[in-house]
Amino acid sequence: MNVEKCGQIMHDYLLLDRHEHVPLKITAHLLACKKCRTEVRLLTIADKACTKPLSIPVPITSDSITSIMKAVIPNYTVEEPVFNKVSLKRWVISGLVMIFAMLFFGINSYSQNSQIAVSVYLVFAAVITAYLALFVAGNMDFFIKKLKNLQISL
Amino acid sequence: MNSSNLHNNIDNTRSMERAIIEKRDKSLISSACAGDSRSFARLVSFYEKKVRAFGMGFFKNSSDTDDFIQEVFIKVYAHLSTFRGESLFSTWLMRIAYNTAVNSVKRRKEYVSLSDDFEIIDGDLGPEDRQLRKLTAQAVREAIAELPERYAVCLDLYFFNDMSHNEISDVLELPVNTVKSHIFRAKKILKDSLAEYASM
Repeated sequence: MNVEKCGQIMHDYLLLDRHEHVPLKITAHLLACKKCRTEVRLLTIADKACTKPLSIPVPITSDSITSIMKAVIPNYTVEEPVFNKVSLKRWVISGLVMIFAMLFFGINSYSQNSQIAVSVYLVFAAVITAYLALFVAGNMDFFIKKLKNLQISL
Repeated sequence: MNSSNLHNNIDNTRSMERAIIEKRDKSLISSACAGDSRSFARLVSFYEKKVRAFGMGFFKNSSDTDDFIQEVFIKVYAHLSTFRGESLFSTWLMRIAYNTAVNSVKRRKEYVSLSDDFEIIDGDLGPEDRQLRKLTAQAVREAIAELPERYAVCLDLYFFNDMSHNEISDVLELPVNTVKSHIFRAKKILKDSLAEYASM
């Protein structure tokens, strides 16, 4: 790749402001030139490494935030965040009801019309799917936290 | 993923992040103006680190920096209802912080760049990120070695506080082209250091 062209492209790239769209000319050159691509990649990572630490918020209940808030609003009181515990009781009960209903139907319909049995099993399958979807959607916070913990431990 | 896609994705993610932050701040500001102290506490929690890092450059000790941060947020709270949303909240806040710092009697005579003090911006970074940040700090140090104080602040605001040329120009009341040229010089030094790093 032409050294002069690379120099000009990098010059144009360095002139870009934060959050400015990278022009097509530069993008096209980066696609073809590995050297410039590596330089841009390193610049991007360096940029992120410098800005990231200051963009992480301080916990709202930390001493530093409390002392600032007390200076700003003298009667400010720290409110501990309320964490709503995920109650699984209702889910467990409805899950057990479904299992018993399926077992009961399975025993009763053993010698009956197989066509009815198939359609009822299809209904059961739809109910189970809806049950699982609602369970995940209703407890999204719980799953996100679990996934984050899993990512950290990995 | 190719480079073009990567860049477009980074661009899109960043503009989306900015839009979300802008919306979040506006909503917190209106709640805080309506008397919700918890919303203001959340705003403080989002920007405390930036103001602290900025203050350390002027005061160089925790005690004066703590006083400085309190003074800044007291001013912000007192004038919150006058924030019209013409600029980002962070720009408005940093302008207050800059004016407070330069007018403070406790400040050191000269500004000391953040690039001289890593502890304050220590985060959860991997070894490569740490090395790259070190190189960036070196480049910033080298670029500001012969610059007057205001330009040192300008490079810190760009490289560590994630501010654009226009935002820095607003905060420091410097011409945009002056800001651009100093940042460009620092970026060039950084690019050369990174090229050396890549060839190692």
